[in-house]
Amino acid sequence: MLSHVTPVGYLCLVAALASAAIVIWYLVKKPALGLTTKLTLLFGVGVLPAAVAIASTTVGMQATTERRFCGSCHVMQGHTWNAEHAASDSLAARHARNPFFGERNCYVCHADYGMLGYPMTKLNGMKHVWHYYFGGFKDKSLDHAIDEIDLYKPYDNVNCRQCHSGSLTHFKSISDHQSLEKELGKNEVSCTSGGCHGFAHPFSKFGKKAPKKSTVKPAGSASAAPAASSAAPPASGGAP
Amino acid sequence: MSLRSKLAGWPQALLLRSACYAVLAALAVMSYSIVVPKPLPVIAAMSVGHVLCVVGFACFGLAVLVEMATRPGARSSLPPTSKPAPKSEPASKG
Repeated sequence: MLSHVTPVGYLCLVAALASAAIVIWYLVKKPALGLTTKLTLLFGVGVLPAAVAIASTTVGMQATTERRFCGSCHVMQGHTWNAEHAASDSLAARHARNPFFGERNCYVCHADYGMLGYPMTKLNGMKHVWHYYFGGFKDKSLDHAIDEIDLYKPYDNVNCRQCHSGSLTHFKSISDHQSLEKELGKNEVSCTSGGCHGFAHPFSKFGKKAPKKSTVKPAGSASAAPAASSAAPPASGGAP
Repeated sequence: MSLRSKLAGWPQALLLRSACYAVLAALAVMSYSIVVPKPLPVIAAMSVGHVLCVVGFACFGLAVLVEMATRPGARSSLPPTSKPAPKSEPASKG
């Protein structure tokens, strides 16, 4: 149950326990308000809870960047299963196997970058929660939700170019990269389009392009990976 | 009515108990978000948890002020009352 808790998380829990012990001691024992009691209460009501608040915020913000967090809403489980399935060869899955992305692959690829990138990403996350609980997605089945889930705006090539800068020889040697340089820069052509490197989550495109069919199965299902990867056109391997 | 006499009317014990209950609730919410890092617990910890934490500490701070206001002769850090203390009593006592 606590296997995912980080060292900071454990410190936070210990501080919370210590604070709770002090507070409960005061409530139960009702000691006289001497200097010792006041100082003890200052720790129990002020210092330790402040430490817990700071640490839990740090741990919470870290948790929001993990794939498990994204997949905790059932409508995203298709995407997370596809990304973590060992046999899946979708763009998302191949990136998830890279240690730089790892368990944070959703966040690394979908975060906004730049000066206001972090708060904007978090605000969008709040919008997701709103849509989930008040926009009807909570009550939709996974198959129905996958058909309707879409990005708020087209995927920005800048996110790809955080790593694939496009400045190295190998990147420039690809004729399509040269001929589409301006379009790629203006986001008129997406790196993750069908004709280029393929959709990041190809299974999610079936409902938008063809009659709906159940293509997403939990990890471990034999049919999940082939279905998930069948729509992905051949994509080149590691890019510069 | 001066600030000191207003504060003196506040129930210090109730303030301290309120502080304790608010902090206990805040600790529960924040700890739960660490054990179960899902969207709602994390959002609750960063909103409700923090507010309860601040409310608890504010209650504690008020209780401290109440004690300062009710302690005889201890008014160096508070606005003067309408009734000045006897001249023989040191102003900075306490």
